[in-house]
Amino acid sequence: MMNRNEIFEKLNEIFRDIFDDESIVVTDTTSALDIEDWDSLMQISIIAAVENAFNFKFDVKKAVLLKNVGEMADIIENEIS
Amino acid sequence: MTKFEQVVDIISERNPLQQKMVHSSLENLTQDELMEAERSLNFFINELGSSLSEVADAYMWFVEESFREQILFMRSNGTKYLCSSFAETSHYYTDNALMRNYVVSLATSLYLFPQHIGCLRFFKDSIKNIRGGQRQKNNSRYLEIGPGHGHLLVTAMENSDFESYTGVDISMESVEMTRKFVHHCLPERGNCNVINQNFFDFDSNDKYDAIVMGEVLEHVETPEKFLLKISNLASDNAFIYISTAVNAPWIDHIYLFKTVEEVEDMFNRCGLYVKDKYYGVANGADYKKAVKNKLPIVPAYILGKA
Repeated sequence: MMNRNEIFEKLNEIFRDIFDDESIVVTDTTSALDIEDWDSLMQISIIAAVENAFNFKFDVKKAVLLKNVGEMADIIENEIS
Repeated sequence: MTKFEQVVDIISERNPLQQKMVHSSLENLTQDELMEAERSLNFFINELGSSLSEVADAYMWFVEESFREQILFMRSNGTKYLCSSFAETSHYYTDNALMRNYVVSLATSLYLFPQHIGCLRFFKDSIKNIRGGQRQKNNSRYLEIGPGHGHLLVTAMENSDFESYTGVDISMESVEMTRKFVHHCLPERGNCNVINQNFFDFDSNDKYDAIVMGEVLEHVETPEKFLLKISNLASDNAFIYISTAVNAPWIDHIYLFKTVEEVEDMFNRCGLYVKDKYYGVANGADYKKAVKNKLPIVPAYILGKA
């Protein structure tokens, strides 16, 4: 089973790939305000990539309300545990 | 600070994903557009009794529902909307509370979604520049299908001089809102009639010198029949404006256009041809990127009768 650090390692890969920026390091508090191109359409791409990488489907109602990467990591942790 | 700017601030506080886009949209509005947005907001407050917070709520409902639908659309690899028949969505049009929220959110998005403000500008520029005398002749008629919140209709009335303006909308709530909005903006004008009817049932022996339909086609099970009816109702040199939505999942979108070419081919099959066009892309994204990633596009057209 993945621990939280391993989840964040994978999330960093996803974010670097989607935003085409190798310098991105996401943390619990990283939000759309911290990454210039992160808008609602990019959020859809992030959700799709996370679903593929971690092999689960988000509860759509929860996905709509995600405020930062930490909340996303919480859901992933729950889903894969 | 205007009321509209206050609404933008409320939206920004509630959703970081919206913050950048709505502030960028606000900065790009002209002074006239900002005044129009403010007029729209004053209408909601004074005529509908809405608060600024309720307007922001309506907008957030729209973006959150839209986001939810987009996730599900993405999971279908862009192959289907959740609903595909009018029987599944027709109840929305008689749900007055939902329709009010719906039209308030759409009217607000008109000034905050780059694709919507782009279409509004395209429409306004086009109707201002009508040539060929349609506006001058006696009994010249303007017909709008699905005026919804009434903003296109008011824009048309302010920028053209047809003798009569008719709106046909399937939702009574939209009819009432359009009537009130026209009266709010142009109280001295008595040449506008808004009818509660399904356009399929709209019966007229008249020909129209302008036919306008903003983002309605995707709500219809058989859009070709709609277009054929428009083509038959239009006079030979009519001004025809139609916009629709491509890859844009939404609660009552039932006809999925996957490309703008599909839309344009359908026009050709219905005796219409494209004179001018504008492609508005969700969030102001690049058009090629939108096509590649199946992002929502709102194409708007000025059409002629073939």
